[in-house]
Amino acid sequence: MKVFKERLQKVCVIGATPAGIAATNKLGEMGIAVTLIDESPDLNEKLASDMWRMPSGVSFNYALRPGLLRIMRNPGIRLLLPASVNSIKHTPQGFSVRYKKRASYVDPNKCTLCGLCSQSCPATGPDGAKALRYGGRHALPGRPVIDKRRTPLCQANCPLGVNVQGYMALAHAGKYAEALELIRKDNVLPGICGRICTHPCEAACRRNDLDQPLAIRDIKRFIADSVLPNSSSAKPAATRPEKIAVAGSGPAGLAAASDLIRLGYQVTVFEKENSPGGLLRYGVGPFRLPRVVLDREIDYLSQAGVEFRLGCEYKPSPDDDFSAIVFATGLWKDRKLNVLGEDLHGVVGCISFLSAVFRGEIKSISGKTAVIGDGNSAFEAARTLVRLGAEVTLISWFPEALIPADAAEVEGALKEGVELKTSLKVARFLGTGGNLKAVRLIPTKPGPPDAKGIPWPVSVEGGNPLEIEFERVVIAIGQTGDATHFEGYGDGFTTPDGIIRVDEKGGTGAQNVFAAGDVAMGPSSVVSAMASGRAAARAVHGFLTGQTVEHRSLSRPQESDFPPITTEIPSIPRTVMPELNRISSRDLSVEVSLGLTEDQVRSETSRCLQCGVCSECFQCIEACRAAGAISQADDSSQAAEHAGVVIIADPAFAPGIKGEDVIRAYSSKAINPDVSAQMLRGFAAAAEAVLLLGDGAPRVKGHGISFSPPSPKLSPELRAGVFVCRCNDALGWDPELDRYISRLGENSPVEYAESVASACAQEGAASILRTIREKGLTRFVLASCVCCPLDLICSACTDQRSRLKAAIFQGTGIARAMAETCNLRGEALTLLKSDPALAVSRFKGLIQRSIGRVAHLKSLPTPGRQYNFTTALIGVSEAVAKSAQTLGQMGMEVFWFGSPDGPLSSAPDFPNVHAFLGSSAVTLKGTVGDFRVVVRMEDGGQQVFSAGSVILGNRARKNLAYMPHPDMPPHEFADSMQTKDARGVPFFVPGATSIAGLLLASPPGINVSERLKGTAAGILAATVMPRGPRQNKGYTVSINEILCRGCGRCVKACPYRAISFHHNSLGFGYAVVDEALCKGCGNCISICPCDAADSPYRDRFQLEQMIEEITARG
Amino acid sequence: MENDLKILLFLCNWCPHAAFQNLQDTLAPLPAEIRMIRIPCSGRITKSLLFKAFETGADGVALVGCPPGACRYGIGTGVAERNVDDTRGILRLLGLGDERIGFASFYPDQPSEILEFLAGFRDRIKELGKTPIVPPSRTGKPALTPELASSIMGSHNIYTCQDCGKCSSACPVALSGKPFSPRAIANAAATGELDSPRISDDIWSCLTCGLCYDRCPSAVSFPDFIKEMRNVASANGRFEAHEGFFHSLMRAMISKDLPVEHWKWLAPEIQTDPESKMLFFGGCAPYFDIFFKNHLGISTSNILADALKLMNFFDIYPAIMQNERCCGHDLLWSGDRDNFIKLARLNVELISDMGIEELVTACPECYRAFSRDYRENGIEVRFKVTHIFELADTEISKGAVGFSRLNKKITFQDPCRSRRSQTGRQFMRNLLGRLNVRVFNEMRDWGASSLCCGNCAWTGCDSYSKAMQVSRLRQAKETGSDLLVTACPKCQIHLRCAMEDPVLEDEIRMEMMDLTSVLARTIQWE
Repeated sequence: MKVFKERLQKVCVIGATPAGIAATNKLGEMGIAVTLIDESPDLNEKLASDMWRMPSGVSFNYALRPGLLRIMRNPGIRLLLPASVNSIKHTPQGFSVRYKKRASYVDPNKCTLCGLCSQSCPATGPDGAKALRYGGRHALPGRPVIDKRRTPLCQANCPLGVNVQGYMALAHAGKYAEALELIRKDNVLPGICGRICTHPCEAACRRNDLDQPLAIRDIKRFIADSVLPNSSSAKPAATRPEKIAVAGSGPAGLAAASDLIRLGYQVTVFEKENSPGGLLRYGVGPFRLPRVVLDREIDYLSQAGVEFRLGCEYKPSPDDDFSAIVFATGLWKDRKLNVLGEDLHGVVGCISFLSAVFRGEIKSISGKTAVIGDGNSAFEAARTLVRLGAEVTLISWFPEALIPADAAEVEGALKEGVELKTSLKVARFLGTGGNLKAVRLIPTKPGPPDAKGIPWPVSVEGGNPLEIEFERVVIAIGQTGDATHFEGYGDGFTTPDGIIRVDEKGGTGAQNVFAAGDVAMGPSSVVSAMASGRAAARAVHGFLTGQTVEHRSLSRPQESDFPPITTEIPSIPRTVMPELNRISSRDLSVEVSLGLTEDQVRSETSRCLQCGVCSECFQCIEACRAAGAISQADDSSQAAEHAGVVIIADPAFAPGIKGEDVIRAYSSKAINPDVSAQMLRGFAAAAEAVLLLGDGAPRVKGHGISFSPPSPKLSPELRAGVFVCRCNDALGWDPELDRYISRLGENSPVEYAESVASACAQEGAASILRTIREKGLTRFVLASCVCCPLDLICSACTDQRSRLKAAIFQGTGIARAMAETCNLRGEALTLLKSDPALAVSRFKGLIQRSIGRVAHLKSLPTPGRQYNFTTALIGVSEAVAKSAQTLGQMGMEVFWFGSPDGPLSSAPDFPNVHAFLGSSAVTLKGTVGDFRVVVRMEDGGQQVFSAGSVILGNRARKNLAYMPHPDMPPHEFADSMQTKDARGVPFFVPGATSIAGLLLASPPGINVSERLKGTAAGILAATVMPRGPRQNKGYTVSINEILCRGCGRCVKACPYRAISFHHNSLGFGYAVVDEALCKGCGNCISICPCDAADSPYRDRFQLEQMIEEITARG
Repeated sequence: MENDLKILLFLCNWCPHAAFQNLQDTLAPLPAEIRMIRIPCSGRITKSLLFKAFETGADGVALVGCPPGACRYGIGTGVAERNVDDTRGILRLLGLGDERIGFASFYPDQPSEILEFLAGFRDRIKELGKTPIVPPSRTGKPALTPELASSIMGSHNIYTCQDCGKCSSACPVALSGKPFSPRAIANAAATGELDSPRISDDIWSCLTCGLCYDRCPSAVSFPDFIKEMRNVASANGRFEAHEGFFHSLMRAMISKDLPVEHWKWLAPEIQTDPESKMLFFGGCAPYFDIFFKNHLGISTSNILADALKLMNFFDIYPAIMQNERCCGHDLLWSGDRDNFIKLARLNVELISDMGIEELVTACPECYRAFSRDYRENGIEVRFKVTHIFELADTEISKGAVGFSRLNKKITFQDPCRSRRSQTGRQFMRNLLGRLNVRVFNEMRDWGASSLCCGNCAWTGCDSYSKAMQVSRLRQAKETGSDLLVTACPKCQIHLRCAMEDPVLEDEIRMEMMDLTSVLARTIQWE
């Protein structure tokens, strides 16, 4: 059953295969809106496939490059690349195609393909590929593509969300400053965390699946230590009026202060001690965290604008003008064992002991000392005690294997001589005269695991207690808060243990009071405390502004998984950081760990699997700052494209959909159809699409004139400008070039000279245009990557070049003839790095010669010609009938004749088709728009019919004489496409011939049905007709009538019949070039015996001048 | 000094350009000695442009296009190969060898292949070393002032013109329909209108055939006047035919170190004697044959071989110069006297060094240059200059020599450089009379009234030249002859060129043979 659809005048082509490209091009030429969807991000790369090589040996991407660039420049054609199709559904207006466009992160309209981003991209995965895929300057569309996957596990598992992969990549590239900058975005204490972080990132590292996790913390330490602090930076001014108080300068307070400063607030940190750092200074030994590192990182915050008030405890006062207060005061009360004898002299809490040591109140300790506890703090105390001279025993109630402290801590302590006693718990402390003498311990065993799986130890029933003599005991079983500190904030502000109750938004029971770190969440790690500080900062900002701050980057496509860990990736052991040996370590201030060397960092970072591919190091964004083409925001989209007609050109790409109005431009039978067949299928699909679109599609009928709008004539006045494109300095620059450019204006005829960062960028082209107009320039040198100013697309043309030419010459009133171009980028700038002197001399030579040429520029021809929009069909085959039907249904006028050896005996009745029964075409004359078919009519008489295009059936192709000139034998034209090693055949698409407008209903040697071939010929005929004014080509040959001796060589040689023969008054012939047909190859010039043929663009004298400039003058 | 090498690369827009740009974009090590000129198609580059590079000092020239079957325009690869092949033939004659010019073709996705080719080409040129061609200076023309014009007019009796118009009515250029008049040139010079087209254009159209001088009651030496004017007027190469190829060739030959190999093609049965005091001077025919081989199919070097055979027939075994150069006639007559003099001096020096006492030539222009133009330009020629026709006529007159039957009706085209000389008046007609042919008929205009072949000194070729040639060929046809005998290689070239006509075709097509060849091929002892 046929369903009537009121179709949208738009076609959706799915699959940029040769068939898809052929269909898109033809529909584009018809003026029909097209959306082309393909999974590949780069048409050039996709179509370079050997599978689609043309029979001539040229790969499809280069052979069809003019067509591909026309797609880029056609405002009616929309590209969705890279994208996939989820579903296609019938709608009353045609189809709805649901697609998902993947993010490329690069805007093709702004990208100049300068390559800076590619140079800056440090990420190299295990296969050595960069995350930013720069496919060279032939990419279509002209932009690189960034491959980005979901958030790497290291980053996901970091409470701060630090972009580990990013700084791994930067460190591997030796960009330590950039790496440090990246770390600091999320972690303002890199040197500290590089030493004492509990590194949850390493636990999540996918390298665990392969061998061992990456030594992320050690690399971070190297980065933090290797970059010298920048001391000169002035304090940035606050951008917001609010002042925030942060109480406490531990990790939570510092992290909160840092984020608040970045948000623009004025931040004051209160610290009751005389030095900032909190637990970092008073709870961590300098042998693990040298104070110079701590001071350096606090200094960084001071420089960033954080004000520290030291020796000053924050007390709320009616006078203060803080808009918000963040409590990050930590937990400073030691938890008690609550056993007998805990008040004996000689029994101290861990934190009070350590803070006394680090304040300098205790310088040395001798004698037997026990540390009770098994967390990191216990080991911290034990190792501190060793350094103070004590004989240390650490007593844990867990068996050794279950000790919760970091294994490295345990190992370090043992190395340093700490004795470890395990599975023992303190029963009581024994003393005499108020002084500790011994500790009574009872054996334990792991109990039943709790909800979290921790087997809390229980006493061994009937176990024998043992007593050990100690002079001193340090109890390190945790800290609690002090509820009395916060009495002014009301009941329930804290827990009974003095921990501030915080809601999920970071708020507390008091309105503008926030809390972070241990005081808000109980004892935890440095990194968690910092995360909590950052959360508090976000809460403050939310409270004051109502705005939310994103904590984590949202630009990663979370559904895109990591590249798999393949067997090709070698297993490499983790790099071990060297440490001091035990003997020389008995000094509090000597750091035990020595840090990695640069070589170690380089090799260790190379172990990073770069799981997210793009590491989000943002170096490319920085590199592209001028052009602003790269954004790390996910620009993927998922939407529905509505189109009147769908053409599926790639069977592998579209989901199944049924319906007789679904056009499929591929064969379900032929597994590997040749590229010519695919193109023919594409043409046929385009024709079917036009038919489906019905009356709304644009038509041409009758007669018309096509012309190039006349270019402005070159002014006799010579006022030249020079515009030099620096290509964003991607290839480097030399100050000498600036000096040279600045001096150009001193010499006539140069009125003005400047360099622009990038001419193909919108602003670049606009500024050139503006200057040409403002300065009244009549000629100009465009020194960029553009080689010619012509409306010519050769196989080396690029998206950027064509974009720049379109911006300068299309509809601007600037004539192509005004411009002299040189490929400065290719011929000079590319040498700047390898041979600067040569580059500078080439640069000057190119510019100087171009300036020399502007005076000799010539106006370019502006051809116009008449078109008869009728198509003549010659032949009786099925293919010819199909052409007739197609064109007729499209609304084109058609004349149908028999071929010389077979009169048209019968013909179906098609609309708009005038079949001349009994007729036979005899000969053919003329050229496109103006063919003459000489026909023998049924009654034997001859008639001449005019037609704009001609479609020949197979027998007509073999037998009909093409006689463009009455005085000459039939003109042989090429009717089979270019094939390797076959000389003399110009490029044309299947179904066409070397004569424009002369088409084949059934092109030979292509394995496609006659029906499809005939349909394809229909669209070729329909599109050969111009649909409006044309661009001035500017590269045609002209023949001087006086010089021409009428030898006829050029007439015979021209593959396009662009040259015709006329009679002069001297009794013989002369040749005339039809500028609308001439393609400017210039072969006629080189066979002309009398120099009559020449081209206004790069004529003989210009070429001679170039040769002399290069050879004679060097 | 390696970077002093200058290698020119003509690079087609299409396939190879894409590959080349890929090399630029990837910062590949393109040889610095190679400089690229981008062209629309390899078939666009004429032999003249290829050779121009060598004239101006290029050490190597590479033309790079698309592989056969992949030329965007179909014909370019073949045209380019023929042009390179022809130019290579010229280089071979000049002793520059085969390898300084290269042609290659690449697909767009063959950047490494093109790089390999370019590096290899550079290396080969480096091995060959610098070109022996020293680019000749082309400056030195004095500015054309009214005083200078006046003095030239004075020295050639132009002021004695009585304005009778006999010159114009005899001038073949004017008769061809071209708006051209010798008198108008003279008048423009006399009135100081030096910028007018009468001076700037018409002096290059004159054939310098001298018919006007023959008719002039005041014996105004118009050809010499034109020659002088050309030597002072600026032409910017615009009137050089064949894009100045032959002018480039002549200028290149001024380089003394050029190891010309002028005679390598000569068949071994032709005997010459290096010790002989008589020199056979061949002229430029071998170059002409290469340059025109693809279209005109002429073989003017046969004239030289036949001249030598003729001399051998008379038991004369002359010396030949392997490093023979052009006589320079066309440089002088196309306005480059400076370089003519340089070339003439070099010729005289080379010939004198061989101890030559007599020079024989079969070319009327060489004969004219050595016997007259050299002397008139202050170059002392100490050897006797003889035209082959004089030598042949003299030898035949000694008796016992006859001619075998040539079953042709013949007519004869007098060369303008000989028609008024003794060679023309006496020897050519004597020889024609001796031939054993069906019939010899003179054309309507013959002898001293004979019409020029239509071009002089490779200048001013256009549709009017063709008209002259067509009318001359019609005259030849009118005689009912089937063989047109000529006596100058250029007559053969120009008349053959005119026969290439898709409209007139058989109406003007005719077999041609040089008189020297006719003589050599039919002479026999009786």
